[in-house]
Amino acid sequence: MNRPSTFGERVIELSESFATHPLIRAVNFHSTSRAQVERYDRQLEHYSRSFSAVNEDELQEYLVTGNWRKSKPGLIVSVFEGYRNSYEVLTPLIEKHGFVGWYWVITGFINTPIPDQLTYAEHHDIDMLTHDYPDGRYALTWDELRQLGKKHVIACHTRSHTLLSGLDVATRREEVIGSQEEFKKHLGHPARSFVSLTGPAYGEDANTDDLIHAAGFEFVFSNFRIQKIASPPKAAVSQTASITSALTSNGDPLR
Amino acid sequence: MKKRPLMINRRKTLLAMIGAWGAGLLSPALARLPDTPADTVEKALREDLTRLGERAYSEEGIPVFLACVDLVAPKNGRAIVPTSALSRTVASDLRKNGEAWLRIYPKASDGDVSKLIELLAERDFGRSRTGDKS
Repeated sequence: MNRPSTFGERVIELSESFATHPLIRAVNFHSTSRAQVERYDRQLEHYSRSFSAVNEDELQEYLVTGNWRKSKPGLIVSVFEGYRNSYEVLTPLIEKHGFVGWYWVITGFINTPIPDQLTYAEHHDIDMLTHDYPDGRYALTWDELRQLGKKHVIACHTRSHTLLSGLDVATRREEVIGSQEEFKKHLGHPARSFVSLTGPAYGEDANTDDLIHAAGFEFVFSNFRIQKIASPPKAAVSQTASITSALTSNGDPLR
Repeated sequence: MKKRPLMINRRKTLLAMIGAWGAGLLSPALARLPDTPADTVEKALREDLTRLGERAYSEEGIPVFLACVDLVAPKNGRAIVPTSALSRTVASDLRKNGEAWLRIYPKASDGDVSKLIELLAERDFGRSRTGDKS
């Protein structure tokens, strides 16, 4: 992929891409302070009137076939970084309004000891406009992520939220493959989706692309695209199918 | 990359949008007539940019559009994935508003396109559509 270098070139390249591929709506959340809870509730309630939830299997089908099986168009609700308040404030609203959250997790933030999390955030481009937690825990825990993973998508946002293009090979490997290994260790399965800081697309940097492939990711999210770069391994498909079956047989608890 | 003139097939676009209305795919904001005069596009763009400049990115849900690209399919020889009217309408709006953006900001950079996409998504299904002015 040749990266356009000017505004005009990017607009033309992107408008051609938009016109020739299925488009999907997404909404990106970061820190979701309790002070804004009523606003998030209104926003998600409004979305629920016009849009429906999207999980990774539904995205896969839409992306490959262009078919969308639900009566309302899909909306991907992305929740970035791995903030504790995304679990405590936003997740109940996401579930109340019938959406699936896509939690983009910085594994280094999750692994940082509680007393150091605020400092870690300040040094890793993790915005913290409000300091809501006197106990100092600002990141999700792996236990919370395992709970979220039962109904929602847990996805990879690298290990330390840094620009991959400027890193040496070993560090970059840790950011992509190392973070995937942590998902396998703590969740029991790999993450299927990947996005890195500032949202570069697959195809913009061959060295990073190789690592993304080696880590086993299927979807690369970027500022303007979702790229399917690999088919799911059969084990992952059967695992997802069994989860979907369990949820469906239980009266669609995603609603 | 070869540049193509910025033009649209208005009849096809209009028919596609009417069809999309029936399918419930388009919001009212995007399902409008495509022959908006350039100065009107520019005026609306200036107003929306002013309004969106007040957003707190780290604390708001920011709407965007994403193109779904299957990089595996070509290797498998599958057919091209069909698109919806939403794809064509957003692409058309992106070009029209991109031209207006360059008139307002002749030195706009590649990175500014993200803001333009956010603006188009905001018009389609964002806070202004919820009536939330808080």
